[in-house]
Amino acid sequence: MHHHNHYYGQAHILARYAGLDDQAPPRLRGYLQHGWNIADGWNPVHEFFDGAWRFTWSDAPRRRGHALGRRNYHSIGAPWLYLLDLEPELGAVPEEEREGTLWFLFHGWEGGKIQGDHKRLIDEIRETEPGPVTFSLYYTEYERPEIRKSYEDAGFRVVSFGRRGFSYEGTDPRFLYKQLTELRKHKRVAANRLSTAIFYGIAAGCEPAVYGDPMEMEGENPLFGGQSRIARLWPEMLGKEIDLAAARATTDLELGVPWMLPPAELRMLFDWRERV
Amino acid sequence: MSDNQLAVDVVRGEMQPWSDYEGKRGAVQGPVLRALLDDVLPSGARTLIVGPHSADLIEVVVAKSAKATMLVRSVSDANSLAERFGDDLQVIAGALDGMEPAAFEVVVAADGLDRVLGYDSDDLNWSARLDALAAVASPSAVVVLGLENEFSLTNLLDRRLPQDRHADDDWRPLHDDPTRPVSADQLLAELSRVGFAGAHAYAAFSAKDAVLTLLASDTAAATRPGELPARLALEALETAAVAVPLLAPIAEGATAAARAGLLASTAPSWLALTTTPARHPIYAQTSGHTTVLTADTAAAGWSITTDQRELGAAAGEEADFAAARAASGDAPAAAAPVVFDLGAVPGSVPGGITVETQLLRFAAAEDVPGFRALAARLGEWARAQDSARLVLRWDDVVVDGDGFAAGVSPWVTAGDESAVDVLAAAWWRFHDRLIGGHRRHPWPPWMVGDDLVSAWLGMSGVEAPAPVAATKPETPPASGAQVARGKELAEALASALGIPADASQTPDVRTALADAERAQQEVFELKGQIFGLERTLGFRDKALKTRENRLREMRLQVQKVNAERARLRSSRAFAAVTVVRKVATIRNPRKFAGKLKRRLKRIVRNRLG
Repeated sequence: MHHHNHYYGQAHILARYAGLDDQAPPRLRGYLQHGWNIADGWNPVHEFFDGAWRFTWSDAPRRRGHALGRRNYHSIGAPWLYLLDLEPELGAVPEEEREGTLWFLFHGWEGGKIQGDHKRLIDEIRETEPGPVTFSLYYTEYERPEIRKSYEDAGFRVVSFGRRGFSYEGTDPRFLYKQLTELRKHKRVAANRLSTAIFYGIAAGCEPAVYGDPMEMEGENPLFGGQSRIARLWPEMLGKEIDLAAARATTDLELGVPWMLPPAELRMLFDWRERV
Repeated sequence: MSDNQLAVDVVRGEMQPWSDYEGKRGAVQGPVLRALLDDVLPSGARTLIVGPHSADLIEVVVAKSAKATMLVRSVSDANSLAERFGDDLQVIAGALDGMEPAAFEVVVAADGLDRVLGYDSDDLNWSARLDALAAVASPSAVVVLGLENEFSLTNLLDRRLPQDRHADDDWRPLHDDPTRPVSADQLLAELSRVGFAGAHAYAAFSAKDAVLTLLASDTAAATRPGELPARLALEALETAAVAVPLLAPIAEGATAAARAGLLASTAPSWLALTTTPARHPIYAQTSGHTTVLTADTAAAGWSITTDQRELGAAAGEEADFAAARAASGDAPAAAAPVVFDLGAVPGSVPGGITVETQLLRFAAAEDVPGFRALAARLGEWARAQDSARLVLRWDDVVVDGDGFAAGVSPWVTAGDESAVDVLAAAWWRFHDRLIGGHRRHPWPPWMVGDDLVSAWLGMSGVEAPAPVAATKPETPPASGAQVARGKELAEALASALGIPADASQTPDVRTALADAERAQQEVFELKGQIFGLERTLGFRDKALKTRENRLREMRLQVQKVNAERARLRSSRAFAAVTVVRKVATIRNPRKFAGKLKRRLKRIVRNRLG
């Protein structure tokens, strides 16, 4: 129904899980949350068509949305969880062979670039990380040579998982598959903001860390409280050494593990029925 | 008819023509009241029945009494009663204040004091009528007195104007009476005032004229939503709601009242007894049947007894009640898939809340994981039952610690049904009560119906059928066939109970408005969906346009390349290159020159002729 549903190939994963064609996933009758945030799952100015249903990862976004006057929520768990279920072996290496840190720079998007001191961040990463560092850049940063080069020059391996696409064009449906493959090779996952990638990494078995200059994004809307609210709500998720059990418990809640649906229910919920 | 022709005694205030038995309201009645009277009335007493009581109640009073007298205000009613009961009953026609003072040892006025005066009587308020009642009773009499509750939920939610609720009885506004008690405590205080101290009261839940459930006041005050007393009261209220046009669903108010401990205060009526407490705190008629269940507190819940036969021991000996109902015209289906079987009722029921109460809480909280976990446990429990004949109702099954226990529902399947169908029937009933009651839940409208029941069935461990393609807009989903039999069973149960599971079948005003709003919302959402689809199509069109433009650009590029290629091929340079390329392929120039020379000669010769 909305092209955001295709971001990162999330609709493709859910279609596959539901037993349908994941190359051309059927229209999903509503809006699918495509990233973790501290609001109702979407950016503050996101437009919804009248009476639209919103499919969130977990219950907290539903509650926040309800307070914004929005209704018609149903939590389903993050598509990432369904991918883990579909691909239990993808990229997996023996636990003792996992090494290094997959580091995620808080990324901008097509409409906003990040601003911050990359040099200082690099120094802090070097001081902190015990092993080799792989640096993940979203393509908006990956394709900015000055940013990419600064991390390459620091000795980091720099990767990008592709584009999330726009208006059904350019989506790399393997985006999350690539991310999962990389995460399963690494021992740690880190970022300069508590973000989707951290939760994904923890779910994929990594030890988390959140530190460094959180940087700023052009046009960032602090309507929901920004970084200080994150610090108040999820202090257990911030720092260079994080209690893994607590982080996993929070991750299960935020990604919505209890909210996952079986394939048949997913098909009914999304009105995913073949019409010929 | 002259007085000489009257077969009954007549006192001042009689009414003719008139009937309290054949008007819009009938006589107070029902097996519940009969069971209570049978329990509380002393044997061998001089008894007076005041006001219209049905024949089954009169029978039990007559059977218990040494001498029974009955006062009704209608002469024709009195004649009919005299004819029916003959010498067993002395019938008097007239008003209560027309009676001479007497000292009856038992006075039964379960109908209350609203139909004891005629239109020619003095305008006695309720308190004065009670004085008149006391004047015919001995000071130590056993009095059974009913009182309609002006503050009842059914009264508060009645959508009719007050003056339109009382048929032709209200030639004076009986209910606008400052002396009239409006609480059980006030009723007992009034009885105390006229010399009957130490009385106690039951909250009476009736449908039309039949008392369906009686709860001792303290039991009614102590029960909470989902517990047995509240559940039986609620079922009686829902039965009553079929006959009374309401402003809002009765269940919601009754649930709130039970939560507040006010169920006794908001009951449709009370029944006061000036005797020691009756044997049981709960008397209830099984829905759709005449059997009366009585319940007493037990260690971990309620022990159940009945006036018909021993419970729990007659499993399998189902009463052919469906046929009986069909014969009596009560039920349309002789071959109903659901039949009455008292053997299905256990001898004890845990004191916990119903599964439905818990499920509704999960649904309202949009807590699908909690709902799913409970549904899974229910599925396991249902499959582990020894008998699959019980028609499961989540509004009857009780949460019992970590497990569940069957409630007091005596309805079983007529034949063998699969466990899946019985489970589906339970989910259908829950579906109708959830959706029909406009209760909050997290499932989208397109799932409502077969898919939603199938989804819940899936949560209970029953695998969903493979999806089928829709070849037409009305092609039913695969889940339709999966849950069809369960739907039939649920509908048969609702029919047997006489209470529509789907409240929208007898809509109150709020439900009707909510139905209309739901329809508007559906249109609103469908318009939004069309908009969304149009926008999606727009995105897709743009994408197609982008691809078309790319194709056009590529075609132009190809055309351009082809044109350049054609131009190149016709150029002298290309011809020279071609010659050079061919020349380059000559391996033996001398031999080639000889062949060329011979060929030229042949051409010249041919031309010269």
